Amino acid sequence: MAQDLLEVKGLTKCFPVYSGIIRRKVGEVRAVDGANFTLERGRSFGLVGESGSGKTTLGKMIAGTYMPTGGSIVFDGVDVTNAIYNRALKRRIQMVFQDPASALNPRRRIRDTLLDPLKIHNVGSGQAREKLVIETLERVGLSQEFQYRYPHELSGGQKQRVAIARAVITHPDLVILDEPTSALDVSVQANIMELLKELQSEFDLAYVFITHNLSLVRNVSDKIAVMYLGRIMEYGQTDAIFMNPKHPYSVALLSVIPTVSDEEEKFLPELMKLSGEIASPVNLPKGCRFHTRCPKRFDPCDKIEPEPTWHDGHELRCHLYAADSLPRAAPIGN
Amino acid sequence: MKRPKLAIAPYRRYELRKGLYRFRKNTLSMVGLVIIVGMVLMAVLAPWITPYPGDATSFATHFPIAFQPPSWAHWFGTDDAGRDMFTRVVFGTQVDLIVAAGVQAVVIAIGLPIGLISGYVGGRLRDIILAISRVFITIPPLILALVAVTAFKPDLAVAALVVTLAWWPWYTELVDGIVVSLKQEQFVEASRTLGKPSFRIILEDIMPNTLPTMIVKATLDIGFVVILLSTLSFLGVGAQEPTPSWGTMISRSRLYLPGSWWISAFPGLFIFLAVLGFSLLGDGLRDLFDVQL
Amino acid sequence: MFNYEEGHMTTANTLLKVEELSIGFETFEGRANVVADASIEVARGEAVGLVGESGCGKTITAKAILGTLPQPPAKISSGRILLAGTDLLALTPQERREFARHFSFIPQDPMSSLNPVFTVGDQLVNVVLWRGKPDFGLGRYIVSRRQRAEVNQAILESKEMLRKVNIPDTERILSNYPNQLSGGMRQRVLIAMALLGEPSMIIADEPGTGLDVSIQDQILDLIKSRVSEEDISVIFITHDLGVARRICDRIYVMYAGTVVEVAETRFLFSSTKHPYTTGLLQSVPKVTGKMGKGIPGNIPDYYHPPRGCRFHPRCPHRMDVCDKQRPPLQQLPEEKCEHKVSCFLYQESV
Repeated sequence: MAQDLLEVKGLTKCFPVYSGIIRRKVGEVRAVDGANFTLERGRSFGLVGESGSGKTTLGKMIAGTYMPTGGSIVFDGVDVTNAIYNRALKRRIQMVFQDPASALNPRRRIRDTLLDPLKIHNVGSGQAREKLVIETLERVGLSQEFQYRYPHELSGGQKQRVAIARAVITHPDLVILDEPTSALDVSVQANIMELLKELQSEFDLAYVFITHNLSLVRNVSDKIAVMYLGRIMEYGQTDAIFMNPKHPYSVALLSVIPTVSDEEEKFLPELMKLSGEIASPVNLPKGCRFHTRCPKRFDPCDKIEPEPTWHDGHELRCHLYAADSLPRAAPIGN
Repeated sequence: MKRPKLAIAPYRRYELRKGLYRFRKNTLSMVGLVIIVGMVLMAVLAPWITPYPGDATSFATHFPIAFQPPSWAHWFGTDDAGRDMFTRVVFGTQVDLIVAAGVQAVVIAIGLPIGLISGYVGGRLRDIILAISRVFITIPPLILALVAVTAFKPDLAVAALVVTLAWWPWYTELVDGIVVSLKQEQFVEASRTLGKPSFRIILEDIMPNTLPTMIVKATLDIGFVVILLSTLSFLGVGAQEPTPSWGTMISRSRLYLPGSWWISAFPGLFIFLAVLGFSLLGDGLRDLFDVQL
Repeated sequence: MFNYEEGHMTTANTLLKVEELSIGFETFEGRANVVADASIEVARGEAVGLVGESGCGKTITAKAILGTLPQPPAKISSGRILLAGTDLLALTPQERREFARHFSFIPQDPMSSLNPVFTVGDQLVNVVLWRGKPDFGLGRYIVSRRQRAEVNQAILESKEMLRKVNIPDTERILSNYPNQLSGGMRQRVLIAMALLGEPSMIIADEPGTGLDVSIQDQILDLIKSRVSEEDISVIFITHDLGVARRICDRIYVMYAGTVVEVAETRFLFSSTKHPYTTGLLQSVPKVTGKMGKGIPGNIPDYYHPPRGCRFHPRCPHRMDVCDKQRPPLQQLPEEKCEHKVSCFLYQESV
């Protein structure tokens, strides 16, 4: 087993909630609570969930935007939990954001935006930098004349290509992609996904792919984790989870995907409608966080929160499967 | 490979043409531009386009021809000392416009950096800076001027200094507000994720995005600064004789109204035109930059 | 309905007929010819999808139908929009406003489409009071607001409508402000508002975008059931083929301002004809694990659109003739139901 590039254990992030003029802390939002997963070099990991699930917060903790409040992040064998602001580390872990229009400074030319990472990390100099900018632009499918343009002159897909170029120009090891194609049209999305796959094999990049689109994540990741209100509800190999989803939340999400062919429809599990709205992360439900919407809830669900257990290749937090499975001592496996 | 500066040139030209096209479509702002350009030309060419430049620059008096109404020899008439009003009013542009522009420039030079720092750093420092600027904002400039004048001798320089002190906090607060909202933008977060040091984020990412709003506000404000300086001159605490300031001219003319109306009408007209010009220009720039003020 | 022999819709049941609509824009760079000869028909009670990617002109076409297109800089250069026989484009603005009551619009973003300073109840009651009265000036509005009887009646209707859109706690919602509601709730309120106008036709812009998948699912079901019960015609504008497949009876596919294919839903997906539609379907990620590479190239420059078929520069099957003329939208003779394609691959007269 090759050493994992990224190993996350018990990762937690709490945001305090303040109230009043003197800003007293009145509560906290556990945006991410005890996340565990691993990612190998050059592989893709999909992080799936709806709003409030904590997937973006988790991605940002790895990218260094947020400092974890608990747990650990081990990157390439080194514990970096508290060093996540380290500049050398940032060269190796990069991020692509959701809305390409706001991720690029509207008042700077593409060239300056792309020179930024090179200047920050002291890569090359002068002519060598210019060359690298042009090469990277061409690598993401934009001709070199784009370097003198402003972001508002580019289409959404082109802007996202620039954002990707900015992320990979320093040859990082890991790229966090936060809904990189949600703002793009379908055909453009396919183009960008193709580009990402090419870059992954060419630069041996590992991806953490955050999205709410299950069909998309099926096509891009080797392993996925389904999150709800800060907890990872199901985690395992992508194919295994899609062929045989176990957690009721995963089943429900899969069953309502709008499909474009009968073949796809036959593939989906039987329709499981969820009632009600997503609970508030400030006022978490007692017991299993999902029980308020779960059509399969039974006695222990509103009292005790299920621990992650290992069941047939999936790691699950669900009382339905807790009885006949191993506790989480077994390794995740590749 | 062409050097970058040369390669960008055609793009810059195109962008300039596009901007001018949009600006031209707005007739009112073109009017404003014409007025301001006209006044600036007057200020620059004053010694050559006025018939009696000595009337504005020296203590010359010509009592025999005092109180002449507007005529071919004296387009704006003569004042109580027999000096040609047209000359004095045109030279007034040098005083009022240039001092106003100077004050505005200094105000930006002070207010912008402070606003950038307070907005970006936030927290206690921001609370302190905003508190200080609040103090300066709430004191009316006029009161501040009168107080300053009792401490120092009345002079245009003192008036300019006072207006500067009263004006800078508006820019600090404006910039602070913009920076606070810009901080949330994803491109700022992207720069932080890249590992960019904070001062470079402020300089390269945030400041360029504050400039459009500031330019628009500065343009609209110069008109107001002109009024402020004129008011101070009118009250006698600004420009002193023989410096031709529109405010002092109006002040002197009080005694002679309504008979010799031209001694106050023309300086007043020019104040009005200056303010109008800057307002129209500022509005046009605002539409051009699409800024919400 | 569809007339097999003559190969087109019979006029009896057609509510809306857009004929050869062309719309251009005047800007600094020149004249952009966005929509080119688009033709759309909607029957009474039918749910039609207008599918296309951004920039294809679907929203502009919808705005032209609603009458909200800002005429400078836009300019409708040719075509007619017939609502039950009356050409809306030939009307004076006054007359056009009379016809506005037949339409309702559900905007795209529930977060920003409701007025934040008025309660939900106020906004719903306004819709009811305004209904069918295009000359409702401010004076008459203030007067009618004071007629307690009218207002109470409006409140009752609003409550009834909220119930119909599955909002249980109607009393509380009516007194809430929009920012106190979740995204799904807001979208339901928008749907209620659209239905309260008692329109003949609703135009829904990207329903369900920006909502979570589980909520979007509920909203789509709701729209579908409401529409079929009340027998209202709907035009759904969307870029999501999966959504269109769920809720539309017929789908128009637009590319670069032209209609490239139109068919009954199941035929569009099972026997796709136009290369653009095929490319689009391939690009959609499939939950079974397949995903195409997308369509090479970019949407055309509207200032200098391609001669002939607007898709041909990106088309893997392009032929010489594609560059010369634009293929007319023609019914496929072998299909029994409506299925028209604008492509020389399927025209006999090549």
